[in-house]
Amino acid sequence: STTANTHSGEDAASTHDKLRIWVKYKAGFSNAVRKNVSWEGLWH
Amino acid sequence: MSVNLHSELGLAQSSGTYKLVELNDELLAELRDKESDSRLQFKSLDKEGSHVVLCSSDKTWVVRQKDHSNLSMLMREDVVDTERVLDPSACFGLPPPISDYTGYARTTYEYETIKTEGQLSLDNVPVYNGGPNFQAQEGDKPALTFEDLVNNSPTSRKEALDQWHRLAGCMVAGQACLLSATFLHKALHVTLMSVLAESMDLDAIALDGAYTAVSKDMDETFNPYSESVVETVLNRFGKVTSEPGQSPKLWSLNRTTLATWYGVFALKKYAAKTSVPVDEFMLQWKSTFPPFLTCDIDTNMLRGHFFHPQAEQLQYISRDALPGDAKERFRTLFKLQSSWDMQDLEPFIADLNTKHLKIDSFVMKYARRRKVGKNVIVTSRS
Amino acid sequence: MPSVTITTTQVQQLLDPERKQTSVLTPFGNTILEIQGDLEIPAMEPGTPLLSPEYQFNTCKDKDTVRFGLLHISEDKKHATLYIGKKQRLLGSVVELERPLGLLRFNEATGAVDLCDIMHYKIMFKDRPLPIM
Repeated sequence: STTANTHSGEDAASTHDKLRIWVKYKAGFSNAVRKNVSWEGLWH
Repeated sequence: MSVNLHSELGLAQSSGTYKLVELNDELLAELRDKESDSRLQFKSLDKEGSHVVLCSSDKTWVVRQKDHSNLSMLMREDVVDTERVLDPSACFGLPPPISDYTGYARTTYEYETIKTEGQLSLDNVPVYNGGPNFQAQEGDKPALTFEDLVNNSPTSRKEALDQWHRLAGCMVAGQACLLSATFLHKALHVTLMSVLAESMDLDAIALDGAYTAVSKDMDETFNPYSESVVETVLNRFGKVTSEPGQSPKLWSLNRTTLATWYGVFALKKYAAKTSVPVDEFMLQWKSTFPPFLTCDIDTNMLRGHFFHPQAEQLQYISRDALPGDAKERFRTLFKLQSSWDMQDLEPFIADLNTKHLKIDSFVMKYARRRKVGKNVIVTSRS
Repeated sequence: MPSVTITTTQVQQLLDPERKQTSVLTPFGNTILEIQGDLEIPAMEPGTPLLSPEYQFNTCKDKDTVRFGLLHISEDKKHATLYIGKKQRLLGSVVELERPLGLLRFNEATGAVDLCDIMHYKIMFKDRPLPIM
């Protein structure tokens, strides 16, 4: 039963992680990359 | 005003379905123009390898993807199915939300548009030299119309049409082709002779009138000067001056374009192998014109087609025969003529100036220049 | 050579100056939310009973959704505040775009492209999130 408990504890932790709502701030902003677009790229 | 923000579950990092494109003033103007059919198109030469362009009815832009590092979520105001009243503590002191926005796509880039020149793809366009046995296409390949060409080229329709006229594009036996320079010259000459013989106004030529005049002198067996060829001549050397929709459509022939065309023809004929005194050449040039055609002529019209081997002499030179390398090109030009008037030199080297510097600054990289009165004289460095 | 004509019927009515977007939402109800950073939200609804009441799963037009925040726009439509979950508060603004952005919808199945909206504003959060006090 100890094993089962640990298991469900991990589950709860990972479920909590998956349910997290959070903004992870990025210190820098970049938009330096520019590239031409192929026809395939247009649709994907 | 407070709003609940929702997001659809499982949105991919970037959506293939929704994309943002920067709308420049010209695109907005095109969209706003109720008269135009506001035809915006994405085009690409092939599915992979080539890049996509965006075309309006008369302009072309390269599409570029501008990636950014922010989260960008597209949201719309939308009522969620189950209304839930927020606990006041979840309002953080704000007024209770009055609506719901739902995120339906994420995007990590915007498209930007860079103006470019539309280019007709002429790979499958044959040259027509006026011969009687013109084969539209080899084998079973279907004939290409001009509309096919536009559809197959990364260009707007207007740019395609301008280029088509400039290159003497023509429909022969249902196939789009380009008239050879020799045949175009004959066709121009015949057309001019015929319309001048009928005393037509060169500033108000109707196609059927011109074609009827051209056909009069033709024998029954084979007439290469079809209505389409005559139309090509009118478009190459003139422009439509009547209002759209007005009937008949009228063309006005450009005298400078005509004189220049005959001038280059005369250069090739009389001044290709040896130089000719300028006075003598002017008479030869005049002599190539059809009778009764009056155009002012000036050697300045022929800049980019001749050089002066010595003072008061000129000789033909083909730009296509010059070296592609800048240093070599300048060396060749100075070998032909040690000192150039900038205006005479410019058309021979303009294509090398890919960074679009001021022409004086560009020339300085390869030659010396000095001012003499109003003119700029260019000489070799060595 | 592949090409596609972009349908523009829907946006043409927006180009009437009187219908130009003056607020956060376009007349068609679209907007852009931009945050300098990543937004972590659940990828799917958990099968198990929810561990905390703060997660508000819902549906909208047959799609599963999750509520991730509360947005406040000031009276003058210039300032924006965004509460994320229970711990983060972001201060931002409603920004007028230098160049309007066209919203393109690509339908791969039918090969159609529709310019379906024109955005003149976005809601922008570029500062570091603050704790909720």
